[in-house]
This record gives sequence, C-alpha cells and structure tokens, in this order.
Amino acid sequence: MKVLIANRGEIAVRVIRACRELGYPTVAVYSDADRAALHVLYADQAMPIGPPPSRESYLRIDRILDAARKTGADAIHPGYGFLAENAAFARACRDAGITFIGPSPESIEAMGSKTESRRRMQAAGVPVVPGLTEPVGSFDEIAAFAREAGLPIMIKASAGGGGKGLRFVEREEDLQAAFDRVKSEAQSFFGDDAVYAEKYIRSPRHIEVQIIGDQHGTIVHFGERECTLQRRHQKVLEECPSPVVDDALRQKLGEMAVRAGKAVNYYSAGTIECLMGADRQFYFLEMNTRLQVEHPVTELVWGVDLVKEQLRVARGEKLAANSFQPSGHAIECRIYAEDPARHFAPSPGLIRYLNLPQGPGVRNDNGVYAGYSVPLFYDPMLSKLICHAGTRAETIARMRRALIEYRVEGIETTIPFFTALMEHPDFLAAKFDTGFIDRNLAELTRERGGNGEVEAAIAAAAILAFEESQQIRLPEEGDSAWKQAGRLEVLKERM
Amino acid sequence: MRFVARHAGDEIPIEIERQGSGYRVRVGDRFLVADLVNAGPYLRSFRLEDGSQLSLVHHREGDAHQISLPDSTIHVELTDPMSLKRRRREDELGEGGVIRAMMPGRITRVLVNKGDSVRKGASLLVLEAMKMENEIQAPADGIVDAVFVEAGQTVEGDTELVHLAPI
Repeated sequence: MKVLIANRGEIAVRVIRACRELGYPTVAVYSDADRAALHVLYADQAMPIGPPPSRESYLRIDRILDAARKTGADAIHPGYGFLAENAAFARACRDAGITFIGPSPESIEAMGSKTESRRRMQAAGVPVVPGLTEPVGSFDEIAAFAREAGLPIMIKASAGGGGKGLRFVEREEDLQAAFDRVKSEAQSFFGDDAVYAEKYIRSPRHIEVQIIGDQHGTIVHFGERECTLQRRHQKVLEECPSPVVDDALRQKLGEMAVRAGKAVNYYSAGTIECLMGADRQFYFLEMNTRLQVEHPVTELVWGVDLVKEQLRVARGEKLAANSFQPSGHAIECRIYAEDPARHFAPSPGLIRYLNLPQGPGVRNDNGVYAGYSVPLFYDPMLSKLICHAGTRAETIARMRRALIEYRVEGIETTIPFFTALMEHPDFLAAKFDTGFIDRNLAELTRERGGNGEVEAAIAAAAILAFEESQQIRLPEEGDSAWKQAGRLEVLKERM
Repeated sequence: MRFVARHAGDEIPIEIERQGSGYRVRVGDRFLVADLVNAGPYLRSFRLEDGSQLSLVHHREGDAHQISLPDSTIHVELTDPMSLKRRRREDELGEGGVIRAMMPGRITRVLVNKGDSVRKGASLLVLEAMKMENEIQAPADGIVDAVFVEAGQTVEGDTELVHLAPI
C-alpha cells in the first residue's frame, strides 16, 4: 500500500508516522504556501496541488486524485477537516480504484445529515435530545411535549439562528407567554412563525466515544473522551477518561456507540458525540465519521494506534477485538497560534525559536519547526501536547511541567492560557461544563509574570545590550583568535 | 554604562558594569549581580548571585527587547539617555490618525471611503487572518483622509490601512 495524505500540518505528520512504521511509502500534497511545511519534509514524495486558499488546493478532489495517479498511490488518508467527511470524495476515490482510509460514502452520508442521523439513531435505540422534529401547530402540542420531556425546555423558531427567536422555559405557567413571544419574534425576525421545542440540558458536558469497526461487521469501542472545555464551540482541551464517567457508565456509553455505528454499517475510526446532563443522562449529538483531533488521549490510555488500525481495516483485515484495556489518564492541550491576551487574535508569522517538551509521558503531535513561518491561510493549530500518567492529578502536574518546557518564540500561542487553566481550582476539581471557559476567560487570560522576573528580564536585556555595544568595536572575523582575545581584554579593562 | 529602560509605561534608570565573570546591574533602586551565557540561538541562561537560574529567549529589534520566560514575555525598550530625549520630541507629534494592520492577513471588505466621517468604534475594514474575521474600528471620531488598501489585498502586519483626520 502506498498512502497519499490529503491534508497538512500535524495530522499529516501523524499519519506519515503510522505509515512509516508499517512500511508503507507516503505521498504528501501541498499548496503553494506549504512547500516547506513539516508534512512535506517528512514524506517520501510530495506533490503540489494548487494555490494557498484551501478551496483551490486541499479541497480540490480532482487535483488530489491526479497526484495519487501520478505517484502511484493506491490509498488516501484524509486526516480530519478538509475532505475527511466529504462523501463525494470517498466515492471519487472508490470510483478511481483508490482505497479511502475511512468509512464508506454511505456511512458518511447517513451521519452527515442532522435529520437522517437523528432518525436512524432513534430507530437504533440511541437516546437523542428529546425534541419535536416538526414545527408545532398549536400551543397544546408544546404543553404536551413539556409534560412528556419535563421542564426546562427551549422553545425555538424553526428559521431561527444567532441567538434570536428562542426562549428558555423553566416553569409551566410561563409556557404560554414564551410560546406567544417566540412565535411573534419568529414572524418579525425571520418572516416565518413556525416554532418547535427541545429539552434543555442544564450545565451540559460534552462526552464522546471512540469506536473502530472493520469491514466484517465487528465494531469495538475505546471508551469515552471528555471534551467539555470549549471556546466558541471549539474544543481546547480533551481528556481520557472523563472524570465523571465510571465503569458502569462507560459500559453503557460504549454499547450505545457500538449500536450507533452498527446502525450505519460503520467501519474505520469514528466518534459518537454526546451531551451529558448533570444527572449523567446522555444524548446523541452527532457522529464524526473520521479520525478526531483528540484521538491521541485515547491512544495513550488504551495502548492502541488508531491510525494503524484505520490502515489495517482499510486493507480488509479483521480487528483483533477487545484485547485492549485502559490504563491511567491522558490530557491534550491544543497549541494554537493565537494570542490569549488579545481575545485569541490569530498570530501567524515566523517561529524564531521552538523547544518542545520531552521526558516521561509527554507526546507532541507537532506540525511546525523553528524557522518555519506559520501561514495565515489555514487553521491556526500548530501542535498538540499530550501527557499521560497514572492518575488525573499526576497528569495535570506533568502537563504543568511540560508547559514550562514548551517555548515558542516569534508568534503568540495559547500556552499561557493552558498554564493558567492547569492551576484553576475548578479544573483541578473537574467541576466544569461547556460554558466554563467563557465564564472564566478574564482569569484564564490574565498576563502573568511576577515583579522579580520583570527586574531580572530587564537586567538580562541590559546585559545583552551592553555586550552588543561592546562587540561593535570587536575586530572582524578572520583575525586570529589570540588577537581577538587580547583586544577583548583591553576592552574589559576600559569598562 | 547607563540606559533608560521603558517598560509598561515606566522609565527605569539602568546602570551596568562588569563584576568578575558577570555583571552588576542596577535596575531602578535594586542591584542584581548576575551572569548570562548563550545557550544556542536566542536562548540565554541568566543566573543570579544566589544561584537562581532563568532560561530566557531574547529577541531584539533596534532598542526593543523581548525577553520570554517560561511563564511570560516582557517587552522592554533600552535607550541611552541622549537618544531618549530625541524620541520624546518625536512622540509629541504622535502617529496622528494612522490605522495599521494589527496582524498579517487579507482585507476582505473596506467599509469606508475617503471623505466619510466616522464615529469612534465605527467599523472601517475587515481583516481576515487564519479563518477569523477581525473588524478594524475607528479609535476616535474623525474624517477618513485616505484609504491605502483595497478588498482582496493581502497585507503584512503593521501596514498602514487608513488615515483619519480629526473632525
């Protein structure tokens, strides 16, 4: 098998590593902005696929298939993002006689549609957030739903969006007024007074379950990941296992996820995302029919290489079912080229200096290097730092240690934000929900550094400025070392 | 040798002299005895008399020094006292109403034209960088005197975008 990786950055590097360990040659593809990107440097071959904007390169199915043809690649790994959940791409690979390292186009399609996936999950007995799938004709239908699902509920305009045309209702006597208000708002904002209702999940956590299936009908799960810590609906930190999931709940979640996968004849790696209320009831949200960004936390805890499993399954091999047991705890921090002190403004540019943390239990899934210029065309994630240790507390201590070693200079990154997060008492106590980061943003993005350090830094800068002012008078290189040393001594005496 | 350090709005007098294999540095009213060695490109090890060690990454552009510690980054400007006086005179003129790109990116929209009068906080342009749109707003009331960029153009950080004249 010769594998083309239809992606860039850290995930392309990650896939190349798995291929290399299995002895498969690799082909990278790159846009004009990525000729010197790390994934190109790591691959056996590399082919250009167009100008920097993604839609003209990494999203061009025709150019990617052309690169596969020219290099003789007979398999394509899509990574995540870009074309990873594009059924047309999976189908185009199939039509071109190329193995798509992922699920079938039919599975991608079934899970890609919100209504279709909800229908299939309900039919398979997978719990979904209770709600009315059709707009209601009368108030009585809303009242009946509220009685059945239990309060609180959300009443929403069918055509709504952007936080307009929705009401949170906690008490039965408020239902009528909320219903009337949403209906009239829906009419005036969206010109359509259709409304529906959904159960409101209070203080939810975001829990997801990793599954992998083969093409012979076997699906196994690798437990859950805790992905509750998000900012603007983007995950920033993930852990495995979830601090609120015990063995019994893990078993239930795993069985649910396997059922969900079977309902769409799933094979390859996939993730079932769920919302979980404070009462630990969980509800299916969606399925990601691809490898996830945060797959390494599962790999470290379960001792599995999910990318290698994907490659094996894609070749038609059978899964070695259930020989895996979880051990310890893992946390992943997503290191972004963003400035936490300036509302996470993007911070592309030249990385002058880079020191990746090392040592026991530390893994870097990194996509950049010192001297590399981070382009502004793509997702700002540079790298993922993953730590693994025996317990959650030990993992957090290890992460704090690793973040001290981690140095990126030239651009701003989210490293200081994670340092602050690792010290937050509610994070340490695992007391958080999906709104935690937004609520604590000021505290988590405060500038750090004690007064003593400022004085030391100023003193250091002064020493360097002083040394430089002395060196200007130093002789040119090429003079004998003896002469240089002699003149340096004279200069020193003058000071 | 003497410097004036400008840090976080403060001006701090600095005096530095060699002492043994290291230096004695006065920062404001404090004295530090320290040595500093190169540990590869950009990386320096700073060690105080009592043995406390800080590994720091140093970058310099002219008088502006950036010192990065594991936990924080300190920006300090070091000038000799003579050139500081000259700088002060320049500061009084100020940058006027020049609005610059705060980061490299692509201008996706230009929302004002030459001659428009704008209120403080009004959106002037939209700069897209790394999948995010950033609105650039008027820092004060003013009249758009010049627009230096157009939609679709890619700009470097610090590029002049718009000039605002006072009303």
